[in-house]
Amino acid sequence: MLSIKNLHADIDGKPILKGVNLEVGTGEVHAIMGPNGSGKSTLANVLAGRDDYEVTRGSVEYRGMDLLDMKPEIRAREGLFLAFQYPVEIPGVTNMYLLKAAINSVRKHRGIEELDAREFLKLIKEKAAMVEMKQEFLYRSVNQGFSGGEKKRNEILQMALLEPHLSVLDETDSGLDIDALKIVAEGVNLLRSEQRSMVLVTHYQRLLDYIVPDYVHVLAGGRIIRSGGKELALELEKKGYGWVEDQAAA
Amino acid sequence: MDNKKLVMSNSEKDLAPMLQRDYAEGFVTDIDSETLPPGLDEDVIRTISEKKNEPEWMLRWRLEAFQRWLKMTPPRWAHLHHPPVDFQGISYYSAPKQKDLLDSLDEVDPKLLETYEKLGIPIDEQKMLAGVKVAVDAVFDSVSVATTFKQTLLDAGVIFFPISEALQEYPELVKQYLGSVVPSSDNFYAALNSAVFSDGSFVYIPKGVRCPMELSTYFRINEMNTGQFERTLIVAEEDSYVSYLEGCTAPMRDENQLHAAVVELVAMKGAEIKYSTVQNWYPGDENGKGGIYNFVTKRGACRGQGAKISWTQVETGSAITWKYPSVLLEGDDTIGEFYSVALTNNYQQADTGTKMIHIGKNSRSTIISKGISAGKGQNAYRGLVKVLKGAENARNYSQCDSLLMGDQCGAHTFPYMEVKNPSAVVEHEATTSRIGEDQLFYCRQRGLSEEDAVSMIVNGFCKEVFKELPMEFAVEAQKLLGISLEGSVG
Amino acid sequence: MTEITQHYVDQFNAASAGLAGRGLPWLDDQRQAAIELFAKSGFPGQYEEDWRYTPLKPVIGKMLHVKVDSEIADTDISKDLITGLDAYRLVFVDGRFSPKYSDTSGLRDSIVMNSFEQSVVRNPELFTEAMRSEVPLSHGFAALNVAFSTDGYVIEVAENVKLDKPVEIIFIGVDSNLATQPRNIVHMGKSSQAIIIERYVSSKQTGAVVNSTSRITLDDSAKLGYYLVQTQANDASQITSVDVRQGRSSWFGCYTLTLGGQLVRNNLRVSLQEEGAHCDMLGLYNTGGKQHVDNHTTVVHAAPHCTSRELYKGVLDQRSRAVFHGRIKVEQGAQKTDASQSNNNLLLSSNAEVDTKPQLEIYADDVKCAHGATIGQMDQNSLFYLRSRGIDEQDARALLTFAFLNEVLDEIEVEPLRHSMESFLAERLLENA
Repeated sequence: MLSIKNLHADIDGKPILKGVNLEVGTGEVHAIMGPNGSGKSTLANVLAGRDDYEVTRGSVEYRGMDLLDMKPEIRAREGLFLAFQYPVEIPGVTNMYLLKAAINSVRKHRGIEELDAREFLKLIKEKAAMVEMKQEFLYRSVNQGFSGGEKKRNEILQMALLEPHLSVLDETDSGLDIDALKIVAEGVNLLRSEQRSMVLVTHYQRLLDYIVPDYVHVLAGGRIIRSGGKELALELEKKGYGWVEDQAAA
Repeated sequence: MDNKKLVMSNSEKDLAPMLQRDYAEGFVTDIDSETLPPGLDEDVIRTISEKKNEPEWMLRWRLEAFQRWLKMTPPRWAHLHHPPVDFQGISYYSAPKQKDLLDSLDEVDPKLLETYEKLGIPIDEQKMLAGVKVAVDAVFDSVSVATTFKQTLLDAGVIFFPISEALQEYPELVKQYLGSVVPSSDNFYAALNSAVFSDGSFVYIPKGVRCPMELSTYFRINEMNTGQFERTLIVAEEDSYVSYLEGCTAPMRDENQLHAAVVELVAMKGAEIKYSTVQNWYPGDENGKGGIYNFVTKRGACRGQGAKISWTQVETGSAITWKYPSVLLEGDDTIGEFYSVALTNNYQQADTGTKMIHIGKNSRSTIISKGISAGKGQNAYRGLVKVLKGAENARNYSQCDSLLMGDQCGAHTFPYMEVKNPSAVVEHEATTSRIGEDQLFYCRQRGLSEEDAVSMIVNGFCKEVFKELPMEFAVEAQKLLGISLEGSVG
Repeated sequence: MTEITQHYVDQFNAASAGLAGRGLPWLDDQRQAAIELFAKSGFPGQYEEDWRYTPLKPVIGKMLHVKVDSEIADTDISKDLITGLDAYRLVFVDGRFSPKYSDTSGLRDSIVMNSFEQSVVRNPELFTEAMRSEVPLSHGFAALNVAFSTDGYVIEVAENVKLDKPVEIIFIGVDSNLATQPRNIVHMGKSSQAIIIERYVSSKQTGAVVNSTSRITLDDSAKLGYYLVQTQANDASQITSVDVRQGRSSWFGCYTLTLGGQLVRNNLRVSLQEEGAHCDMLGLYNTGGKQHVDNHTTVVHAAPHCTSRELYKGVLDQRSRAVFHGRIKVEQGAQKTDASQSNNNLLLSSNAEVDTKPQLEIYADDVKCAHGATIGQMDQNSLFYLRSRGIDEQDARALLTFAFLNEVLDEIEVEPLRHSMESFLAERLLENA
């Protein structure tokens, strides 16, 4: 699904990623954990193609394609989805319209017939029910006036609708209370399948209580310094990041 | 100091060209026209009046306006820059050769029919889609060439005539209201228009009548070196209602052409007039060559208690736009509204806004203005809210937002508020922003192309205005901003 | 030339030879250029966009005398002192410096604080390039002021020097029917800090006019709090022209507090010329009678990453009138500008009038600019609420008016000044309520 090799990336000339290697197989769920400033969000954004970041070395292969060579919208249409840490507000544009434009651009790209208004409405209602989102949110401007939890839920709704091959969830748990976290996690779990891979970027172990990963990686100082199974997350929770960082330094 | 580095970020320089569009309406109709030689004097005015077989009082009115105009100078206060207009270099009358008055569409020159078909304007009643009822007055250069549904409307008591024809059929009605809202002494361009106006629409809605269909006038400039000086007069008697739309286009030419219109609206007690404009005059090319100079005076008077006048405009064309559709809130409990989207790209300049004059008690006004500047475009909102001493409990809310695309354009806001009554509440808010990089990236991550993302965000920005437009016009307006938009508006 | 213009040109010609600093080439040149300009342009008229709301009759409708001699009338300034304000003090009587009432004892050598006249006569080498430059002569009043350049204050704070206490400048009007022309100059060296409180008071009704200019220059990282406090008699008028230029990372806080005067017109122009400069412009006006207060402000963002904030609030009673004209100009290249401007007015009488004109002129795209203006009456719900709690209507009105203005009062950092403004206002509001 995804193969990252020796990835280096800068922002404003300052190196953030300094040689990341990661292999994500089809159907696998990987958690990337790490202290603040370790480069977790940078990695998520580089995968989605944000142009504030400059990739200086390395390669990323996604479903047999050179990911770094693709425009952000092409990545999205090829099934790479980023759930944003800070979903953006777009005044005057309804959620509904964005979603319809998005799903049809994806379908068009894949050579599937575009949805008409009725089909779309049916689909969106189904998906909204799945993430327990009230229908009125569909008619409001994108993320405008949404609470933190509502914004994150909206991201999951979009993910459900676009049915990506690879989902990158950037700090999806940040700013959520426990009830909101449960609902979001449930939505994510419903979307887990043998065909779909996920990369969860998170600072806290808490999210992993609800979405249990197959693999856990620790990102620090711009590199993955340790990888393991889900038990690694528990160990981190107990001992803190200092522990792995010291080990890596040793 | 070298600010250049800070100025350009990666993608913003690509934004402006997205607003570039082909001007599909830029063709010329090859038709025999009768055109007066350039120049303006009393003889020209006499000729225009004679051609239209006008009553004597009309000619006198024109000549008086001309004498006033001679003593006036063009206004200089607007935030606009252009070389002086050579008023003697313009032809003040041009008409396609045909019989003066037509009994049916069959007699209209097929080339004209073809022109309107090409522009998507329905002037063939038979061909209109079932359910979509819009009556059209088509003004081609200086004359009205076709007016649809005249009889259907007359049956309902509604007069929808070219003003030249109304002067023949209903001279007293025209005389009673012409110049009663915009006197010929109002300003330089209004005086000029009063002297030389050639055609336009006259609408009269009798007491208690709700006009059974949308009325619209479509203005087309075709001939070279001509100016268009149309005059529109709409009178809504007590408790009547009318929705009127106007659209405008012109061929692409290297020379600037002048369009100086006057529109007067009169709403009596309890009447409502909704006036919408989609202005798409030729804006000039990407180097600022050519384009229409659009100097327009539009004003409505809410004469009786509870009258309402609502202006909605989408201004995407013209090299220069100078217009301030205004409302005189004379009666108690009257309502004035102004909704505007103005887009300036390349070298276009717009100085537009409104005046809301609160005279009656409990009068209310709302101003929503959205300016979009791209390329080297300069976009200014200029508005006046005036509350006179007797206007107890007057209310105004104004909101003016600007969207800037690129670092070569300008967005300006010049509101004036004059309040002489302590019970008034007048509020003005304005913001300036640009399309955020983060908004663009978010949309692209969901699979939208950058062009579509820009269009979507721009339309979201204009939504409050578009929703005021009648459906067909809203669609046209969205398309004009280069956007396919089903669903995001409304 | 109109009669009134001729009247002042004649006075200039008669006094010219004896004006302080004669023979200094830069000053001679400035005076000459200014009087020529004034003779040509005269005073502004209401047909000019910038002056359309300003009826200048109280200022130019009478033939006033420009005081050029240095004789100083006796007066009593004790009633005009602010309780508890410990400050260096310069006092000008009818526009002329009065050492007798001034007190600059304890002032460090690194600070210049003197009158314009004394400085040009005794210490002309003090005038560096920055300090010689006059305010832009964009209207007849500025030109007339510069032509006379009779007196005023000159303050220069050297690099890194922080004043230990505020400087208070009192302009007191004593004689009747004078037109005084103070020319003030402030230069803040790099990283210096000061507070200037410039006050205008009258000993009695005088019908006098003060036509002042102030040129303020802030070098990099300098900080200046500048208070313009106008509490003169209600038959005195004033035109001020303050021009400020700010260097990198400097801060300028301007507080314009207008309670007195018949016609007061303040022209304030702040130019943010280098990155990181910030200015706060606050204004408060409370008028009654036939007072006319007119604030014209312009802030020019000429460099990237500068911020400005403007808040003017006013309460108008009786037949008074207020005008606010605020302009934010963001020049091309001034990216990352953050500018806000608001003007809020409360009308208490059906004969009062407010004309407000907040303006944005923007030539850069990556900016945050917002402005707002409101005109309204006292919130009837709040009024009712207070009355239902047993407060009588007069007190309730005074309280709500005070609360409205408090947003600006709160920002006055010099405590004794704030207290004095508060009590001045409280007294007036209760009296008028």
